Amino acid sequence: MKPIRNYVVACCVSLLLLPQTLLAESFTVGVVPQFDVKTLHRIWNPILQELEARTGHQFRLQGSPDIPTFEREFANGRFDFAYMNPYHYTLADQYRPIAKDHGRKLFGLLVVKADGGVSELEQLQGETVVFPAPNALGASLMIRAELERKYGIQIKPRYVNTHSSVYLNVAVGLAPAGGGVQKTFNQQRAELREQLKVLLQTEKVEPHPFTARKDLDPALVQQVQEALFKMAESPEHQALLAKVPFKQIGPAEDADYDAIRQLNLDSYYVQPER
Amino acid sequence: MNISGKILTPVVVTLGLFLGSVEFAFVPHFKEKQLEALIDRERAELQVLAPIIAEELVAGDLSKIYSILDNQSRIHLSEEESEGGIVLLGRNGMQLYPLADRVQFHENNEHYLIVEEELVWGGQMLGRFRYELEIDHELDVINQQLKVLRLETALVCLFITLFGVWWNRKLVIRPLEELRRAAKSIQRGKFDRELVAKSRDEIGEVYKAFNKMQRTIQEKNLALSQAVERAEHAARAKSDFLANMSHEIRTPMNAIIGLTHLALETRGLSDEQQNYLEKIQRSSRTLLGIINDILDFSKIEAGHMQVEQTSFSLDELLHNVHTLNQQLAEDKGICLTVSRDMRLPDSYKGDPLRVNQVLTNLVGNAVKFTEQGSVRVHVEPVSCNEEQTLLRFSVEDTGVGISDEQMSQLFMPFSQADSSITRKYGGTGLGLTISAQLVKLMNGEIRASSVPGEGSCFSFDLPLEQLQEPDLQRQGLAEIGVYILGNDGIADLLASFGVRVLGHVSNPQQVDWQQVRQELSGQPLGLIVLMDPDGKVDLHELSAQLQQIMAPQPTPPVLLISAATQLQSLPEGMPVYPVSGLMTPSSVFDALVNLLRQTGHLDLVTRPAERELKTAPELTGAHVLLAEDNAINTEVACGMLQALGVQVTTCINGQEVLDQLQQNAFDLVLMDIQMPVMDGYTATAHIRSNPDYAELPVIALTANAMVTDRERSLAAGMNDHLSKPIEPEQLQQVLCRWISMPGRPSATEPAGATASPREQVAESRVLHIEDGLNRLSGNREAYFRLLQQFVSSAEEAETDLQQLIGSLDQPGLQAQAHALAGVAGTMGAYELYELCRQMEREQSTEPDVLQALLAQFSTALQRLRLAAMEQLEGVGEEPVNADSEHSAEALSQLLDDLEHKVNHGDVTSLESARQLCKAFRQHEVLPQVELIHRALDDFDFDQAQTLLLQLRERL
Repeated sequence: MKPIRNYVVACCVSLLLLPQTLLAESFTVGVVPQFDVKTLHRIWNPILQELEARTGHQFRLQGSPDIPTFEREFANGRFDFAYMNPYHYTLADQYRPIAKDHGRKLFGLLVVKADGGVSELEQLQGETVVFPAPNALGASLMIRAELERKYGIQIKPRYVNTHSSVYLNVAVGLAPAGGGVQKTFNQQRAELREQLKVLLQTEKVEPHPFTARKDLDPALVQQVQEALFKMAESPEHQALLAKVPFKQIGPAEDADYDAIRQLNLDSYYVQPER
Repeated sequence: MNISGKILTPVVVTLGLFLGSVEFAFVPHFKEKQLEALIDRERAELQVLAPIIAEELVAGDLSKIYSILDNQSRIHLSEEESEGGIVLLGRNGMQLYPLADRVQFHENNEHYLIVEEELVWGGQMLGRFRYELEIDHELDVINQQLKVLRLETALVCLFITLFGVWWNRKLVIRPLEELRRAAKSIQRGKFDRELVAKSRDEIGEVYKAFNKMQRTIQEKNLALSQAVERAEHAARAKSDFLANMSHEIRTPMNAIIGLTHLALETRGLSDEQQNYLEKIQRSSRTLLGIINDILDFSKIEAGHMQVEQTSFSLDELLHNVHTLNQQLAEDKGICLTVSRDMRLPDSYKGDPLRVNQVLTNLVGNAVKFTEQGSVRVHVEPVSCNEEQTLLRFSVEDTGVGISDEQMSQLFMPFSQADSSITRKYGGTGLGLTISAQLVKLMNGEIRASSVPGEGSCFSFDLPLEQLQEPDLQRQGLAEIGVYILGNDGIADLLASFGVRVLGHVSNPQQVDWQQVRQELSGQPLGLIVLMDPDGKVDLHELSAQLQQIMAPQPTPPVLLISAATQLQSLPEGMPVYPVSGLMTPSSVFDALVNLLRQTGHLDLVTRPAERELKTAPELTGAHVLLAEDNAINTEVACGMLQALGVQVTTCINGQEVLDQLQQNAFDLVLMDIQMPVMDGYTATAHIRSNPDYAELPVIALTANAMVTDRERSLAAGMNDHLSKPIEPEQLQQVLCRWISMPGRPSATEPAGATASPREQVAESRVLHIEDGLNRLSGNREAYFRLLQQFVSSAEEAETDLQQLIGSLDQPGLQAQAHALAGVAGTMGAYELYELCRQMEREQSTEPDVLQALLAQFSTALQRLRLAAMEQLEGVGEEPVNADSEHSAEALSQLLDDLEHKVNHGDVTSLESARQLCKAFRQHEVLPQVELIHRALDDFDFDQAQTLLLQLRERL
């Protein structure tokens, strides 16, 4: 309710102050809740503050309680700017990408217990494999699609909320294998990583885009885009960006995500329960 | 353990048990409870956690679980509870948390506590929690609590104990201690500690009782000490009384005995008077004996009797015993024999007076209880070592004997064998008790054995130190050939005398005369010694045998050592010289020498020095100063001293003694102790302080017979002590001991040594003055008076005898001869004595034989008269002869002397008066002089003074 109220207030304010929007306007930024809210704020608030300093506009992080909620709000165009996974981007057309990380690609990892006896994908036939969430791009959608389409292996997915849970389930032996991504895998404690090994690496796709709603003033969008790029030139602010992660921020275009579209992951997408 | 300890011990033990039960029962229980509480707490925590975890587990969100559990672990760690971990196990036991390797549980480790909780979700067991806690910290906490608990408990116990101690002290111990101190102080004899009762409990009552008891004891003590004081006072009084009584009794006894003695010596006594006086003398001596017994007994009872250790001669001792008791026995017709083992040495160290006293007492008893037969005293060795000889003195009689019943009471004081005996025999009954005590004092033991009706034997063994025998000078005996019939003892003895022993037959009853003859052939036989103490040898047969083997030579004289009974019938033709009664080496020796003198074998044998008895003649001319304040005592002592031939000067106190000593030279001072002006001790001290009188003997003269007196007098510097009443023998002994007179016959020279030896021997046969004097205690005056009487009475008897022979009156003749013999013997007229005895024994009625004897008698009497005249001239009636020479001047001087003495109450004035009587024998004033004498005789000095003044006027 609060975001809605905020939004209404913001709308009212924006309507009221419409002529001055270019000078001092407030915008919402939505971020996919890959991490818990605190982490998101810690990563994004410094960046947004810097952005405010550079642009003279106000940016407010608009949180979402969980990924499905984010998906819905995103689909409804609730955010002025949004950061999301590439598949989510392909599902909505109100936004256009303005920046992405040029330092890396996105892919999924299938991990098994290092000494768990699973060494071939065939061994997973009919087994329950854990994933963070049904619609996680690298960690779930891409792996499930690839296992089934490329290797013809049927698995029973089980969703355990977070990447950490995936790795722990595999490590303690509750599941023979689990899906994750390189980034989260790298973030695990060494003792956990040592107990795991990567069995499969999916195809690589473009990483998360930072998008702007298409109805926003292009000048503003460009102003934001340039500010972001300028930030990357300062090592101090680049360090802030690296946490997102934007190891090497650069321009992004809609065409960059055609490869995702071609994966045709819709059949693996699970509609959030209402 | 003291009382405080005894009271506290149970308390301490109880508290100890309490502490023990706390330690071993309560502490583990407490620990368990604490740990259970801890477990419950942890379990409750887990129970809260369990559903959350279960839910996440169902969701598969391990990450969240990890996050929660990590957080939980962190909390635990932050609480510093322990590092124990939470472990999550899956359904199949798989470890879900932590990620690390499988956790090793600390099973059965007391440092760890494990709590398990199952995870249930929807009725399904999903797994379980295992919560392992390291509980060191908790244990520490518990232990800390326990430490505090223990400390508190201990402190409480300590407090209780201390309180108990304090309470006990206050209530029990302190009062008890006070009681103890009070009791101790009573023990030390202090009764001033009054206890204050602070409580009304039992202790308070004890206090009160104690105080009462203390007062009672105090009173009793006071009463006791007063009683003791009274008793001591009484004992002192008794002691003083005894001493006083001793003095008081002895003084009159002194007078009685002394004056009787003097009275008996006076001339012109009728037979009746003589008889009375003798009875008085005997009675007074008996009385004195009884008194002495009682005093001795008292002394022994009081422990005052002391035994001396002086050297003495056994023979002398036996001689004295014999002399003292012989008359007694003879009077009763009992034969008294004193003998000893002839081989025993003679000198010992001991108390001869006490031994003498005991022996005399035993002999006296024996004689008293023996009607006929004999009393035999014998001394023999029992055992001996280098230092001491154990001598057995035995007194055997043939009297009434003692029954066993009487025997048991024999040595008890104041008990004679039978109370009827007291009536019959008299006596104090103390004699045996005293004897037994004296023997005991001398470390001996007295015994008695008896067969009633047959006789008794009393004996005592004394350990006596044997002394070195002085070498005896026995010359002139070597030429004498002796043949011995008798035991080895007599043989050894004679050999020791130095005679030539020609032969020896041990048993005189069985003599092989042929052998005797052989042994004697060619040997000059001087005499035969026959030792036959029991009188078993038939002398007549012996005489016959001797005559036979000796023929044609005359039978040698026989020295017969035997009991006196045998002397009744001596065989004729054999000269027998008996030694009877006293059979000691000394008496044998004396008899031997006498015999040899008489038979002419020996001109002069020097008697061994130590055998010499000092006699009165050597005291003749000695000058003795007598200090005595009592007139009667003075008279008695003067009489005795003059009888001994001693010149006496008297004075009445110590000061006069000192004055007299400055004026005249004296050989000895007899000093009374208790005198007015200056007592004897003080006077002696003055005498001793003057070096001129260093050698002057001073003899204490006192009625106090206590040992302490003797010691005190010796300590005062006196040389000896004479106790009153004075016995003539004692006086003589003491005088002889202390007076050594240069220029007079010395103690070692025989009396009368100035006479030529031949005369001496001849004279001694005719008239042995010495023996005669001895029998009269050396009273020369009495002796010569009696001698004179005897000579004249013998001359009268000669006529009587003539008539009796003529009338053939045998019994009359024998009676007359017996009477004469007795007196002749006493006087020492041995020649006459033997003739009388011969006449007495003569059975023949032939007038010729008797006439011949009478002729011998007359000759002997003539010789005796001459000898007596000779002696009497020397001693005689000097004052009578000097009568004409008494000038008026001399008479006047005599009167002056008498007057002086009378004025001073001097008893010697009696003597002076007697001299004056002699001097005025031819004078007209004689009656008046005799009046003076009579007055003095009555000790009426006032009368004498008056009469003397009258006499002076007449002159």
